[in-house]
Amino acid sequence: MADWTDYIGQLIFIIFFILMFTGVNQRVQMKIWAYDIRNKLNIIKSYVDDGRKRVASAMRKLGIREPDPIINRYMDFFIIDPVDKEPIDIIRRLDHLLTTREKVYKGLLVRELPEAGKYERSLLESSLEIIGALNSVYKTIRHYLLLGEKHNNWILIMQLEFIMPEIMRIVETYHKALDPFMTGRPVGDSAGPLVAHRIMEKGEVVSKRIIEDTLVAEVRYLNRRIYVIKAEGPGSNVGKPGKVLARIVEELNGNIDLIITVDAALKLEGEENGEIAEGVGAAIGDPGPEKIAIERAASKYDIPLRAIVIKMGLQEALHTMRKEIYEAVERAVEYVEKLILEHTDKNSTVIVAGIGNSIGVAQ
Amino acid sequence: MNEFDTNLLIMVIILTVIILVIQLLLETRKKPREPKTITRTLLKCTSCGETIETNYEPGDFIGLIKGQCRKCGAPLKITAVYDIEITEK
Repeated sequence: MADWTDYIGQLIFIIFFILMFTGVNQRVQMKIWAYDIRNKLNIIKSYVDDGRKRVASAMRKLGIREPDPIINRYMDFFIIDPVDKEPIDIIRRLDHLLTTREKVYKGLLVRELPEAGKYERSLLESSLEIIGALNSVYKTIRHYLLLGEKHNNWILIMQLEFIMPEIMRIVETYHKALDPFMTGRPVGDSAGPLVAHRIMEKGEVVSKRIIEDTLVAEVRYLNRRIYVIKAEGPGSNVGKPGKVLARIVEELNGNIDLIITVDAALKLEGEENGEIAEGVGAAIGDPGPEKIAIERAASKYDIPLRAIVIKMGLQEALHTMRKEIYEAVERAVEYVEKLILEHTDKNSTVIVAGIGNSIGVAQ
Repeated sequence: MNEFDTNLLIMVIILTVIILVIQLLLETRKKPREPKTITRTLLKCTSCGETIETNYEPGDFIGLIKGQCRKCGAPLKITAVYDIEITEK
């Protein structure tokens, strides 16, 4: 007579055998993955709701009685990519779309908050962009989850499950980024404008002007004429450093000896926060129009184009500036000085562009 | 002897499955501990270069003139606003 354990053993084997050949095991696995994805999706939803509440509260403080319709308009705002099958003038078309989007964003807040200052409006604008991005991620993940479940597409659910940790990391970074962007504290991405600010502090400022939300300061420093370019601060603003740089180059008929761009750059895993690296090219992370403007201006007049980057993770770039990034900024200033002294003679003209968001950094 | 081996094998399999399930559940619930931070404002005297580090206050930004130097009475300028980690005791 067989023992009960033999029966259990055989039963387990038969069940396992059936599961393997009928695909039920995959369904069970899919249900487990879908459950996990749904839990994470609920976390993302809570971040979106929390962001909405905070932005709505800030809007009420500034005098808007009904902030929800405004937030809803921003949340689902989209931009349609220009046609790339015909690449002729694509940069001009892309620039037009980006500028239009910026005008719509800014215009809406100006109409709703005519009494508020530029600074407050810029902080609100960035906060709305953050919750818009979170909402977009939420809707996309929900779409693929529901699609996978609807068609029993376990491959789709599996891919989603495996990519979720990375998505959660980005989502949490964006959610936490609301703190500095709602209060106006400098973030890691402000490293470039802070380098520009330091050079202005160290030198003798001859003149200052604002062009398209971007500051241009003529500074006498290291026995050279240095044009410092950075986004206008201390509001949340990236300005138009590329176009403004190109304009300065044209104004001076290309009589510039060196262009240096300084920006924050995403580090590779294994690299340290605050590492500085130098290279050649335009250190700017825009979708295209600003970067190409710098490259075109430099190549037109054969001006050496140098780049300095301060490396950091996405979290460090979007959260309040960490002390190690601030210390890296001080080192980057010395690096810029070294490049100027090495590559130019006395009385040369140099452009230093501090690229990034000028939040929390005045001029 | 044979009977004992089968029992033991089943027990080991069941235990392993239970441990794996618990570990999986714990792993999905476990959140990496984020270091606590505090935002500080660094002020520098525009005359004697004396630096003071204080807690960040809403409205602080780099370049803002805020307060007077205790040493020489000259204006203090905010030169940095940054986050530092707090070590928990």
